[in-house]
Amino acid sequence: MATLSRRIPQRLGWWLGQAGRRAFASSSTPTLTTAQPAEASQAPQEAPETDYVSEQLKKALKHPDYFKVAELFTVEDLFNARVHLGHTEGSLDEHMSQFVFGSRLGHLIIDLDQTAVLLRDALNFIAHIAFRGGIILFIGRTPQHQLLIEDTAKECGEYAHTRFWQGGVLTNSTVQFGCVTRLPDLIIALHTMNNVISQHTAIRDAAKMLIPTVAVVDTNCNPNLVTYPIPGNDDSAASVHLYCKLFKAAILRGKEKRKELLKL
Amino acid sequence: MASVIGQFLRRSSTLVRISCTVQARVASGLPHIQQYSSSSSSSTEEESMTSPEGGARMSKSMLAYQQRAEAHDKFMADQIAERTLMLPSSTFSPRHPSNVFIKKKAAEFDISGRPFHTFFYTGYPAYYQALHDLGKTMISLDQFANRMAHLKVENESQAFNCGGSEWVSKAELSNKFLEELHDKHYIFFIQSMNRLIEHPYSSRAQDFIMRFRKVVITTQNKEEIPKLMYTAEGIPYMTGSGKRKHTEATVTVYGRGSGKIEINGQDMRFFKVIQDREQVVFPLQFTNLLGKVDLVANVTGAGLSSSAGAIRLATALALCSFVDEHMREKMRLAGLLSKDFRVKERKKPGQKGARAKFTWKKR
Repeated sequence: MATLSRRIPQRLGWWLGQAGRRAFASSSTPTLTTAQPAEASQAPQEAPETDYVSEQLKKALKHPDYFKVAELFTVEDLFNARVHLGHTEGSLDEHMSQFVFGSRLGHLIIDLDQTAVLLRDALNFIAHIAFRGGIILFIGRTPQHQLLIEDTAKECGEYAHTRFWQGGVLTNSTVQFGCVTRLPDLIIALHTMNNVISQHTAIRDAAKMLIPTVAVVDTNCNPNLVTYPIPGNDDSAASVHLYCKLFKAAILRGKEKRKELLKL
Repeated sequence: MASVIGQFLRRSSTLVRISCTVQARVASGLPHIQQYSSSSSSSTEEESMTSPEGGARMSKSMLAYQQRAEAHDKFMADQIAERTLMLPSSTFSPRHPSNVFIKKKAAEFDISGRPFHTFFYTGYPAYYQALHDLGKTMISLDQFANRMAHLKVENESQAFNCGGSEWVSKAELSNKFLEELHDKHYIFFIQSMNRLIEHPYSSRAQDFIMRFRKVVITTQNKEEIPKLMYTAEGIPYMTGSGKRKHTEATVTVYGRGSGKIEINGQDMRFFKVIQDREQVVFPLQFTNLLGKVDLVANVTGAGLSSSAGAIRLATALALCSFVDEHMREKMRLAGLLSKDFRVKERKKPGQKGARAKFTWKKR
């Protein structure tokens, strides 16, 4: 099983899978890929108000870790929260093989070193979106984590949708909500699957609407449409608790900075 | 209220009257100018016009007409005032705006387009908020149950008693949330709430549960149970009467007895069939008073089995005064306190019996 990850060239497969991400990256410089879309949508609104604010927003992007999200967790935290535990070998999605460290007793082990890098990326992105006053929507379809996810969203003043997903929430929102509606600027998926077989519709629809997504992808999920995939266990209560804690911390940091900035 | 309306009507009737006079004058062929000058004149002039002294300016028939019109106005005003007094005041009270205008959802976004509700994107925020609260309630109850189990506290069941109330209907729930719910939403909600009710400590969440239940007014009105009477010797007794088919029975039950049973001056052998005797004894057996009370029954009418049934009912009704509330409820559930309404169905002409037909052959 250890040979599995070696069969696919390490970074090439990852890049091929990043359809959604490339859509965002196409109009921006490669160095600022991470937060370019947010800037593109937000900066023109803020610019006429104060030059100072827009300048600060731009400055924040140049910093590699403006909100210090890297210090939020260590690889050991991930390990303790059982983030490394994947599904059985047979259920592996081929696009996830690049993140697999190996297999033990028939179950796949996720490479936490890669997870840590991607998770920090994702947290940084989340904090930047929150910093710019974006709407963040938490999704997930597992009943056992519904309340936790909804509570997390409430605590950071954002939005949650952990229930039945009606077809056109994103793609047909004006009809769905009866008026022109501002769509979320970022979707955070704690689970990308509706059930064992089918993917959550929101992942596909978000890619259609060019809404960036941060998603925890287990070994049986397809990361291709996800902008910021975080390879990790999405079933254990401990790991979901950890993700929620981290996402909440990142959002609150972003919001705090925003408050500081706008107060000046 | 009535006086205000009456005043208003009187005022309007004077207006009508003035317009009537104007019309009448037009009809009588007076020139328009004159008509206008008279109508625009001061009120004193108007009064003089209606007074008999002003008759010089008015024809006789016109005056008569005016008097008739006035009388008619007065009559109508009185009539309306009278009816207003007769009608219930609620008919005239202004309706509350909340009954006229259907409640609508308040604005859902702030100025930057951010929705107010965390669950806005679900499309049914209030509904899912209720489900969320339900889940939280369930968790808190589970935690409480665990704590109780840990402390080894054993209480009698603290489950919510859902007697006297029922779940709100789908339409009412939709109104409550101001969201158009589908059947699947309603069914899921009620299922979830039922699961909450089944929790052994669900009475702790009574406030939450009662938000979605409505009280049903029970139509059962409890009848007065007559109090025991006493003979000169101080023996308690009670009389009851019962009917069955065309038979009427009056039974007097004496307390502190030895189990004697007297029916029309005879003993139990009045009834030849065992079943009838069992019928008579059944209320006594049921209340565990067999051998403790005496029965004196008086039966009129035809038929032994109906006599037994009538005595049974009369005995049971009389025994109600001897037993407690709990036993009375048991007797009611056993059917001892209700009359047997079955009677013989009449024979129909052209038929062999009530329902049976004559033998019929085609050829």
